[in-house]
Amino acid sequence: MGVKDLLNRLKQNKEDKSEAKSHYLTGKEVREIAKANAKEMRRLEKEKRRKVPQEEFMSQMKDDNNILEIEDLHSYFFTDQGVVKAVNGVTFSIPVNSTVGVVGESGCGKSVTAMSVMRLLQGPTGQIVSGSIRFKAYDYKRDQDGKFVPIYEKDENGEVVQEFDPKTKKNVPKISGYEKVEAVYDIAKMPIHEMYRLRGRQISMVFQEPMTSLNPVFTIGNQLDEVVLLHIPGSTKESAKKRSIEMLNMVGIAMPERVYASYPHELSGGMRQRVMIAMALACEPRLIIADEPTTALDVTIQAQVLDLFNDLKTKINGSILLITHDLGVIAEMADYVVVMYAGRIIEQGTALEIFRNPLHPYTQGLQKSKPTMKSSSDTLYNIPGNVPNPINMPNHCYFKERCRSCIDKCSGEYPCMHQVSPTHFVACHLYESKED
Amino acid sequence: MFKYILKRIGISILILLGVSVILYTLLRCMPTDYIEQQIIALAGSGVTVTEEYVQAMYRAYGLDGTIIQGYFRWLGNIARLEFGTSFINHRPVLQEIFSADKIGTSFFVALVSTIFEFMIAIPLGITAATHQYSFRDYLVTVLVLMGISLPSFFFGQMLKNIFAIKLGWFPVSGVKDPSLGAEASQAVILVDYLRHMFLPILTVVILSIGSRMRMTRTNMLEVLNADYIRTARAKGLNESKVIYKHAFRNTMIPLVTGLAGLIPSLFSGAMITESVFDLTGIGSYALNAMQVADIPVVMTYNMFLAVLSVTGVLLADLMYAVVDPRVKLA
Amino acid sequence: MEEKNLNEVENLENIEFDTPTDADKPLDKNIKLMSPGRMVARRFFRSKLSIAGISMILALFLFCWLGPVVYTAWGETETDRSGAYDYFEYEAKDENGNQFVQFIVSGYSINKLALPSGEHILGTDQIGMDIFARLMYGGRRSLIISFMAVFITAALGIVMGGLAGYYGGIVDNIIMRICDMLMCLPTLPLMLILGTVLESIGIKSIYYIYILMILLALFSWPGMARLVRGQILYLREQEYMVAAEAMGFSTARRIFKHLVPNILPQIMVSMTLSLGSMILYESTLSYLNLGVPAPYASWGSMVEIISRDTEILKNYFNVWGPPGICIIIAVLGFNFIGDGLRDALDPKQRR
Repeated sequence: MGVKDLLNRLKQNKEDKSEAKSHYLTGKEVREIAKANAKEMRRLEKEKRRKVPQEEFMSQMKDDNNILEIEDLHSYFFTDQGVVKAVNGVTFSIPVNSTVGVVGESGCGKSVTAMSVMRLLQGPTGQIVSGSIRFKAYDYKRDQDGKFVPIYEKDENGEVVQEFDPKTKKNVPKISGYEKVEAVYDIAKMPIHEMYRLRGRQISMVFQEPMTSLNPVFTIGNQLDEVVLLHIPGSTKESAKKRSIEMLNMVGIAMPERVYASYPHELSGGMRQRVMIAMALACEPRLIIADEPTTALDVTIQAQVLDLFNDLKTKINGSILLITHDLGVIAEMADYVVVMYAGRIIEQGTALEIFRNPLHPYTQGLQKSKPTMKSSSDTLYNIPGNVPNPINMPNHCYFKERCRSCIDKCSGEYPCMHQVSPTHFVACHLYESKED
Repeated sequence: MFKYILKRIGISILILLGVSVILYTLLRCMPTDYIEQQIIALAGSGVTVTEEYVQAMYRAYGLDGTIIQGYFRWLGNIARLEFGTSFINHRPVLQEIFSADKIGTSFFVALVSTIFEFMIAIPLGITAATHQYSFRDYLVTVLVLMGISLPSFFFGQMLKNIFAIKLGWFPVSGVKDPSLGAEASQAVILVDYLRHMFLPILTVVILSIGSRMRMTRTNMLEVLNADYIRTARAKGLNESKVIYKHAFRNTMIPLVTGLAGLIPSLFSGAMITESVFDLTGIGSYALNAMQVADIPVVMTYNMFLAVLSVTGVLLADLMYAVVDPRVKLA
Repeated sequence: MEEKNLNEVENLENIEFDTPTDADKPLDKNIKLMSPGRMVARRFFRSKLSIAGISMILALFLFCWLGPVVYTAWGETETDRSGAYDYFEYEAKDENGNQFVQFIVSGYSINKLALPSGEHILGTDQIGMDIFARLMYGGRRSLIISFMAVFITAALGIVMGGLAGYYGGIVDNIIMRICDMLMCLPTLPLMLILGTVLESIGIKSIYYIYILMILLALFSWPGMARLVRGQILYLREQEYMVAAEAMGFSTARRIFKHLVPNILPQIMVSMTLSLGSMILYESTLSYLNLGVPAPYASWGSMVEIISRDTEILKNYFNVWGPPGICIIIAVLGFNFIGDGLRDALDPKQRR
């Protein structure tokens, strides 16, 4: 009896092991994946470095009210474990002067979407594979010689007063001191070296980790001035410093002169994040991407930073793309909300619609798992299971096995977006019936 | 800060005492000391050597008594800044070591090759890191690693054979062309000196580039993955500015602090290279002194190096505080 | 349908979410991942230099250990006496004052400095020994010596560094001061002095190099000790060590189960890289006449001939070339592997 038991257990053990093994790729499979990846990565890297005339990446906005339109964006990571489709066909747009929030669990592709807009995906593994990101830039106008055209002011006598006189240093060069033209670029098709004039100037980004996002060996002033010197034509060290201190003031730093001269490690996390925000705002960008700007901060600082964002939005007259997993932040800040799951958008709409009337079971789950004062239950609700790793995804709803209201149809094709109201869209089979 | 430095100097003195004990003991353990060699030579030439004479010799050279007695006598002399005279040519040790043709030659070779080493290795390391796993990375890596895969005497000998003996581009050995008379102009002498120095310097540079370049590459790779590099890119800086301003400054921290650690190697002389090219540098001089057990010279030379390396470590730490704003000396 | 759903949502707080009943294979179990070991191997082999390094070292080992089994024509210290008849000629005068020339012919002379031929694949050296055979036997000796030195260095370094890092305080202070002292001693002069000391004690000259390399290890452990100590100090602060302590694991278990696996990669990298430098040390010691003595072979003592005999350096590449190339291959191979390991084991690497 005992022996038989033991044998059985051994057999069981062996089966368990072979079961475990099947979770791992074999060497041959890995090599095949790597080979296929290498080819694709090389092609895409080449594309990034190519030299093309401007016309090639010029585009037209679908709706002139938008500042950014992302259409069917696919950003993949070519890892040795397979192609990770971190962003898999994302479409949304950011209207002028609005805040769009992107929510989702960690690993759902929200940060990758933001990085794609900045073209900051870590190459050569991370690449934008297809889709378009149309951005309405407000670029400096250039004359025939390729020089920027300053806006001249005329005094009473009709004589031209130059905006900035380098000798007297009377008038500080400003972004507003030059004529500008509107141009729509398709960021996804832009070569990287063309991105340099958009980054920091037209689109800027605030990162998640204020502790490590500032270069430890340069002073705050040095790092702030850099942006101004880079993007505002004709700036000098003095004008840049003036602008930097003005920006530090604007983000609510009490002693800007002192912070200007200090090193990042001498500041607290909240202060560093303010510096990052100041840096992002220095050139009056049209779009600020905030990638979980408050996650690493404690709650009181969080509120301050969020207030700052709300405040600034009106001041700079731009739009904000806010990425977070915190629904509370979204509720406070966003006009429009995009809910992502495993690289796809599953629901989008105005903030009101998403909060009052969440349709997708996942959005409902998210809402439910948020702690509230009202809830009588001791335990916090959690959505069972984990976000799947987006490699080799099947063609059915990714949320299927975690979903509480699964229907037969869910085993079928991946649901497409259904419009429930002019602004509210959801990708779930539950809401298809009407159209069928 | 001041207190910190004082404490460090105190520790350094302890370390130096320990080093001197080890060195002195080992030197006295050497079987054929200088006196013995002298007496054998005397006996060989037919002079009868009496026991008293031998004792007198030992006393004269300060080698009578036990090792412990000898050590404290040596220590006492050092404390009075008496470094003794060389056993071989009876000249003061300090004069022997710190002469232009000995330490001067070595210092020149070391200084020039260190400058070249940094100038070549750092750019190579950076390109290798920014083009990781590319053909350029492989090429640079293979070439520089080949440089450190050779025994120094072998490589020196090869260079000498090819460029001096076969091609005759450079002189074979020594520091000065004997045919140059006193009437030769300064410029001619200088050119001649540089031609003599070329091959030794080349040897040292190629032998040392490898590790410096690998170090730069590793540092650079680490820095390039940092968050602040992403921030720099997000600002709109172009790639070269990102690398040469933001990444480079951080990569430089360990390289610059490493600079202080190089101080001893500037004065130690490349023993093997110098003896291959028959340079009269301090390295080959010390090598000779060691082979004939010239205790005052060997002790002074090695203790000088030990003092330099202790100072180098201390300077490196101080340098860290200067270069890296995050480091505060406790 | 939509109506109903909206109603449902309004009562969101009251809905009982039940767990999914779908018995299908869950999505996150659906994909295959790489095992951690394979991931490291993958990163290691991504660099073509690592592959080159591994094959170079393997080839050398096969050559040195299997070679003599296959190639048995000549031994390590076997002199080829099949050389041409050698003769000395000298002129002399007999007592009558007549001049004559005398030849002294000797058979069984040494076939020295023979060029490569069927008899001797790489020719013979200046004392008539087969270079190819000596290359293999010498390789064994050189590799064994360097492995031995590296293992002793590593063992000492790990123990001392571990003690210093784990106990801290006075133990740490004493060990680190000893390290400082040893690091101040210049290695080559030390080896020279020790070499002559060995001579006086009357040890057989074939053992010199082994003892010298052991002594070298005794003087070069501080580097490894510092590495281990630094790592331990760093890791002790990490959360998982605190967690291990909180879970009541014994000290030994904490060290061997949780600390050692985390330091091991660094140690391996450092050991591989120092294997190469030990091979170089061996040849440098040969240059200083402290190497393997005459009839025996090592790569170092085989190339060392070029610094004593310019004739051989100029005209007989087959004498010093092969051992030189072997040294390059070995050191380069170890460096490639060490470099590849460092890249592969670095968890910060994103690729």
